[in-house]
Amino acid sequence: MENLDGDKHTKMGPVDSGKRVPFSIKTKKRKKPTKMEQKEYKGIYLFLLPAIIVFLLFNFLPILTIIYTSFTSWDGFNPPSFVGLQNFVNLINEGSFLISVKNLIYWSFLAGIVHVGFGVLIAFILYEKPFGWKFTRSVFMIPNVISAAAWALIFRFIFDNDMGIINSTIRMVFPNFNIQWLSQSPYAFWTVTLTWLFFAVIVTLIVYNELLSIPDELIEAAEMDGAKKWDVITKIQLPMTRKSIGTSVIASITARVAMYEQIALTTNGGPGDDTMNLPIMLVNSINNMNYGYANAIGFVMIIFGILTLVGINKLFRMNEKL
Amino acid sequence: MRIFNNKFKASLLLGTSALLLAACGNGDSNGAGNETNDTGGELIEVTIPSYKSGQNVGARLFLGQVERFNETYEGQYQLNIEEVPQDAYGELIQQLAQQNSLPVIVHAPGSGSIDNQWFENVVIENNLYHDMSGWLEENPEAEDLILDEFIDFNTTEEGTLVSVPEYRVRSPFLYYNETMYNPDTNIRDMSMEEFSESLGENKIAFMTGENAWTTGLFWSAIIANEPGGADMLLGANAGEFTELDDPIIVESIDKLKTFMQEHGASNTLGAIFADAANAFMSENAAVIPNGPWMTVDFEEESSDKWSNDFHGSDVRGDYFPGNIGLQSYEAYGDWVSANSSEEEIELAEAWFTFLHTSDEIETALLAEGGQAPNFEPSEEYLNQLEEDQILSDIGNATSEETVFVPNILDVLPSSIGDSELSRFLPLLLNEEMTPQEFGEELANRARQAIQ
Repeated sequence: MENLDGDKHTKMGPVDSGKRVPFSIKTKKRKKPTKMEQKEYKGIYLFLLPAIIVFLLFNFLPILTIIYTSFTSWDGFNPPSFVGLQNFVNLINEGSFLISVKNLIYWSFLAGIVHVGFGVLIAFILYEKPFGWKFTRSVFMIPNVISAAAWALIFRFIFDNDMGIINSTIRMVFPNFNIQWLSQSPYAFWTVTLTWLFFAVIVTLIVYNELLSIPDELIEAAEMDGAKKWDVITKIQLPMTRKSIGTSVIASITARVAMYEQIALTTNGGPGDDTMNLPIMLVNSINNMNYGYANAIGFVMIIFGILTLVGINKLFRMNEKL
Repeated sequence: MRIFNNKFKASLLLGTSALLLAACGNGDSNGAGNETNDTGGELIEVTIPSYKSGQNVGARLFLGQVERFNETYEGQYQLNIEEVPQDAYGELIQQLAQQNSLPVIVHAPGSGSIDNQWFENVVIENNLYHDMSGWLEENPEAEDLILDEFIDFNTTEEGTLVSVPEYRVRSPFLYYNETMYNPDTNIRDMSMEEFSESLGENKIAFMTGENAWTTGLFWSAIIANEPGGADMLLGANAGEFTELDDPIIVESIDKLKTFMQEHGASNTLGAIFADAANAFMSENAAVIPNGPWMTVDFEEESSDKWSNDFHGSDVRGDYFPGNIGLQSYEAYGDWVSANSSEEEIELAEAWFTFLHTSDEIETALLAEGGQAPNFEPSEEYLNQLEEDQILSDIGNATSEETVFVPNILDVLPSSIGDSELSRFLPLLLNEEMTPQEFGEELANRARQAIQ
């Protein structure tokens, strides 16, 4: 079937004022930019140039260095010497590595489901603007202005066995209560998890802003067609915030990959290896002047981040239009 | 017009970004670690980074020394200090080494400073140090004071002196609150079993957080009391000790576990140094192992740290049971970087000469404790020493029979001493690991660390 322009097509386009507008699904040939457009592009490239230079110098080149030196034995000062895959073999044979990966997988699931889920829930509640929503929003923001290191220290005091508020409160009812939350298995893992699990303000902000951008007419039209609140949430709002939720999941999981302060300042990976993670192992390797090995760990972290990005992109169909 | 505006804006932003990058990247041509002003051949002024500043325990002595040096050499030399947190000092020095911008004077490698292994593999290996053997020859008084064992360790096969060796021994020991614990015999004359019995219900301020410092000190003493234990520690190279699964060490781990379970303060699990010190200074613990630098916490000026009727004047000191002190002669001192100019080296050598004058040695011994076997103290010093009860106790306790062994935290690989030990101690105390398993686990990790 030919459209009005004579281009071949097999689909009809969207409805517009009651008249279907045909369009071609064949991609049009890219027109050569005009001289004026070329001049504009130059300005755009010049504008982007500093950011690209900074990215190359401070992100891309260090990543290349990490990848290269992960195949070397390097003390951080003398020239590195190539050792092939030895660092990775040593890494796999290290007990702490397998436990770190296991912890990372657990934390990734918790981040993607509980952390992001909680943030989305708060976003939806704030969107409804219940009584006190502004105060709630402000209070919810407070953890974000306190550094992760400060939070870790606060949690150390909260969960202290002798004088922490948690145990002191429980001992009002159970005087013999005695749990070392940060030094005893299996409590340490969950205590460290609590230092970030419900602090989902970034997720809330991203999803909340996405909710605000949904046209009211869509929701009104749905309600006029008989949609209930649950239908609006599940069939309009959630699908339309799909990308922001996906972005939040990526950010949350990659934050778990790089999580350092919360663990270093509370349990330092202990007791034993209960809360061990890759950044702690990396820092320990640097302390041993084993930069090649440390960068092998860094390389693994990069791979994990890329896999997360690709996986979540596919899961949430981030490249598809809404 | 639109195109012109866009180009103008792009050019303006590009120029601003370029200026910002240039401004951020600009720095002193000497590098961040070394600033020198030479005002026409007269005053030589140097600025060095130091962690012995601010609230650091070493600041009181060090800053006083700097002030007195500047007064003595007014118009000739001026030494300025750039405050750096202790945790960041080692990393800063490593970065400056990579930039070939090391400061003139660098603090001694060791616990809390730059890594011993890094010093050997990078600084000594690449000759980044200034040979101090010339200074030693020109200062025979200083050479007489400095201990031969330290000179031997600091001298390379080629005969160069890599750092300024120590003239004093500063062994950690046991502080005890005599109002809570007052034994009939000296602690140093007891065995570990006798000490445990004499403690009764009294507690020791152990740590299982940070680098388990106080626990490590006490563990070293337990090892030294085991048959063959002292020799094991004495034969260990700094940062390379891995035989934590040796039966002697396993036995010591078992005894350490018993001590911690029976005599550990209530906050032992998870305690960092501040918690351990607080336990001692709030009378929750009667004993704390630590270095002589802790004496400043028991002076009247530090009374804000005391609580529950604790008073600094109630604190006494003694060596560990078995007359064990902790000191390794395999220690480097402060050193001078090779990239320093002649004037800077002149200032640095004057600084070290100044530190080895009688007045400064006495000031250092009174401030931070320790013993200088080759030093003849003045009457005034001895009188002042008598006024410091703890330093006087240790001075009187030191004899030829005192056995000095290295601290185990100094001979373990860095990551084991700084991190792994404290992570596994809770498992040992909670009976989730046997002493054998504990020793084997740490031994495996230590061997991996030094690969």
